Amino acid sequence: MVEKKERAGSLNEVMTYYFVIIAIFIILLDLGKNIATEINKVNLNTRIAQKK
Amino acid sequence: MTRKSTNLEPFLLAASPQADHFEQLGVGIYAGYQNNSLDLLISYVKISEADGYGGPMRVATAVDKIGNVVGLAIIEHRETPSWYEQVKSSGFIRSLANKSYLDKFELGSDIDAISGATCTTKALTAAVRKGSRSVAKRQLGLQVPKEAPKQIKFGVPELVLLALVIVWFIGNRNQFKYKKQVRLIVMMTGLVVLGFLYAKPLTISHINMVLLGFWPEWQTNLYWYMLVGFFLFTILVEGKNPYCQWICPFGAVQETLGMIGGAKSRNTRFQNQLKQVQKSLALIAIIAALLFRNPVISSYEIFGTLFNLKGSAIQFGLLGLILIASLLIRRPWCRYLCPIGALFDFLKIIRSWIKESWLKRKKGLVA
Repeated sequence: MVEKKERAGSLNEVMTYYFVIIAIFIILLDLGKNIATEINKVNLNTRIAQKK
Repeated sequence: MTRKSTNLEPFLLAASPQADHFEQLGVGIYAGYQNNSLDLLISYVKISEADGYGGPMRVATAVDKIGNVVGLAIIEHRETPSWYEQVKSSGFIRSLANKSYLDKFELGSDIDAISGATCTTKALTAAVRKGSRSVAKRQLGLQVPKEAPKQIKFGVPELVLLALVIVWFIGNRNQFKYKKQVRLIVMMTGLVVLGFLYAKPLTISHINMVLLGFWPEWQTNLYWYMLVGFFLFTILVEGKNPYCQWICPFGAVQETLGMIGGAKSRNTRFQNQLKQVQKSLALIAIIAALLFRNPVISSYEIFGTLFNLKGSAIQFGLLGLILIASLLIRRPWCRYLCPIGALFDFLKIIRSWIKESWLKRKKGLVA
């Protein structure tokens, strides 16, 4: 009974780790995409200013 | 990024493409000429500002010699990228380009609103109205319609939020008998009204706006002040976080799914480390927003994706993952990812520092 409970607990734990790792990967991807867009915007403004 | 480094010429050209030469007439006002001749004035371009979703939006509005808007260009904005793209591709900007300074410029009246992007469309409309009327009055010497006095907006979301806060205040007392039932009612009301009906949950961009000093006009943004004020007040004064547990509509979605799937709230062996990851994510989000002076750039929450059904493929992917996980793990977003939860921990630490140093000082004074 104890063994079963522990196994169930560890399954939940593994599931949590998988969930957190995948979610963090997606969040960082989203954040990275937004930051890259913002950096491009800044670079574009700088290039326009330099051209002038 | 900053105003100083923004070269306005491309925006003036985008607003008034027929002009090939611009002359600055004053602060934020330009005259556009054709064929490089100062005799062929074809438009005035006014730079005006209005409050958008994540802060001020700057717009260049080109107005012809009889006061009609002939074009506009957005110089600077802090809107959620996916919503901004939606507004851009919807033809909304083109619809403003045919207006006259005499028009009302009212969403839902003479301008069609875009559902889900109300703040962005409101800001654009307000900026173009201000720009066109300023040119009509100052450059063309025309009589412009009087600006209606700002009315305090207190509608359903404000009323519901106030009611939920009052109910929390009563229901959260230790001696209150029906705490569990009242919490469930508050949570479900929050889910329906602040979630699905009005899509107004608290996000990290609210906090970023406070930190960046982008405080919107209070008369039309009373909900913003109530939400942020309530969150900060209860944490800093009471040391409690009723928003996440009682009111948050996304928390309610997860909890409902958890009830259906029999989700467990067991802690893992590395619970502390996972909490640190959550705090690090929140810190990255705040630093990125401060660095780029854009409160919405780092708002990685997927509340809008669920309640407005708008967002990128990445956000929909994340939403799907969280909804599935909610069936098996109790409130997975709140426990491991939400920046608001992490922010609560940060504020709690600050609160205890202040309290400790105050008590020490008091003891020192007594001794």
